[in-house]
Amino acid sequence: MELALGKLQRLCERLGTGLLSGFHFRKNAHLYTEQIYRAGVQSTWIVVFCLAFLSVLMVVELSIHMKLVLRQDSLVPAFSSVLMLRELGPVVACLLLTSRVGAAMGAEIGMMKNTEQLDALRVLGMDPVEYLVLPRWFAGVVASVCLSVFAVAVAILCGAGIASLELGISGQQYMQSMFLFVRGIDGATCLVKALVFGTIMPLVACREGFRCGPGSVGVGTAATSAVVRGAIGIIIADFAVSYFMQRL
Amino acid sequence: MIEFKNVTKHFGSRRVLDGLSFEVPQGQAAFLLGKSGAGKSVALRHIVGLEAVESGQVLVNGRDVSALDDAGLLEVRRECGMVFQFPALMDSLTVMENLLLGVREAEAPQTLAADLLRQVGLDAKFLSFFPPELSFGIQKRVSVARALAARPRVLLFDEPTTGLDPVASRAMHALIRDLNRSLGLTALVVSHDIEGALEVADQIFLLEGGRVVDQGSPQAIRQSQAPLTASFVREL
Repeated sequence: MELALGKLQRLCERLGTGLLSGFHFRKNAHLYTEQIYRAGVQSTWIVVFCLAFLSVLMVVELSIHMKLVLRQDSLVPAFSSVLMLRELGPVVACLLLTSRVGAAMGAEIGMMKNTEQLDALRVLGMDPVEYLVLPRWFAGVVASVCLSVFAVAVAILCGAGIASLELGISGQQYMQSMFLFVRGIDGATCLVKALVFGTIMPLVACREGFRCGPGSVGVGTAATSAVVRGAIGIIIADFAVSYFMQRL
Repeated sequence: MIEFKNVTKHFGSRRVLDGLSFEVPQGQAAFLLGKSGAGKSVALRHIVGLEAVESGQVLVNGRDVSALDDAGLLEVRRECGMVFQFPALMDSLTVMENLLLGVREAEAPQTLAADLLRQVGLDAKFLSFFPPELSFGIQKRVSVARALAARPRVLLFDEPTTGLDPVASRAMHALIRDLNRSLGLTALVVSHDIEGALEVADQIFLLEGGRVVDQGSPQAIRQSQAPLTASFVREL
């Protein structure tokens, strides 16, 4: 435990030093933009698409079950929006990012290890954590926060659309019902979760890459582990953040 | 100058280096020859601190690598350029960006990068290429140019001719000889290629089981009766 905390402390120190170093940013700006493009921009379509459909599905399902139990479905906008903001939005967005971006990060760094690129960086006097992990971590945080916010907004609009078409709830009624129940803390929960998950995803993926075994099997295993361990980390962190935020 | 003094290294229960001792004087080109698993690459990695010294001493220009902190190790790494078995170029960077990776400040980066390419016999037109767009042989030359970027005093080559055709292999050996002679660099080359070693080296060390079993000038190696050396020379 002490060893793990020590390692985490050293990693945080290196990330912090690198992030605050003007030289690092000046020289490596292209690495940051490239990673943000890969992690964020290229993942936009799949994250928005999946969350929009999930929102539509949730509105229809909630309506069916509320009608069965409560004989009315006027609370569907409120429930679906709160659920989307607090849980599904950040969790699904970051799980999708983990499977798409985390796997690629794990495989890429694993391949770099197997082809001696990591050793080459060290011999050139560069810190692989500063050069490889820092831009990916930064991009992971930016991508997860921006995508969560954007995808949740689109998902809520899609939910309002299907509610208008199928349930006879107008857009105005949907928003009124939503704002009756949604509080500031729900939005904050969404942001905090995106921030935490966006940190976990790239750090786990990079760790798996650095621990990559030899050959194509090693690279495949690193990619798989990046997704599996990243997803487990996100689920555990989801519980911890929800527990903490509910007590605020 | 590179000096190994009784260096031992284990990976798990396997002894990879077994009291390895040898010395490469400043400005000389030396080859470490041996069969796979003899400990050649592991020895090379000790010089730049990619492997920790378990016991014994590794001295680079008089400094004991095993006793250095991170800052000291960084200085040793700046004195040593290393060419890996794979070209180890960053795929997402252009040749020019790869060449300047380890250079903190350069007044005229384009000129510096073009000069580096010229030193390894390549045209400046390659500067804007990405590594996957180049042949393996050219990538290897670019990796030699990158190793020269920090103006090292020592050049280390880990199997520089692996994956190259015979013509490209001969060209690589000629390049090593030229860099050693024209820039006065100490060169240590890990290889299986006895022909190249006899052509380029001032000193040849034959490794078996993690220790030097034979050594000498190319002339002496040709006439050596040591079983491992004889088996290599027979391949000529």
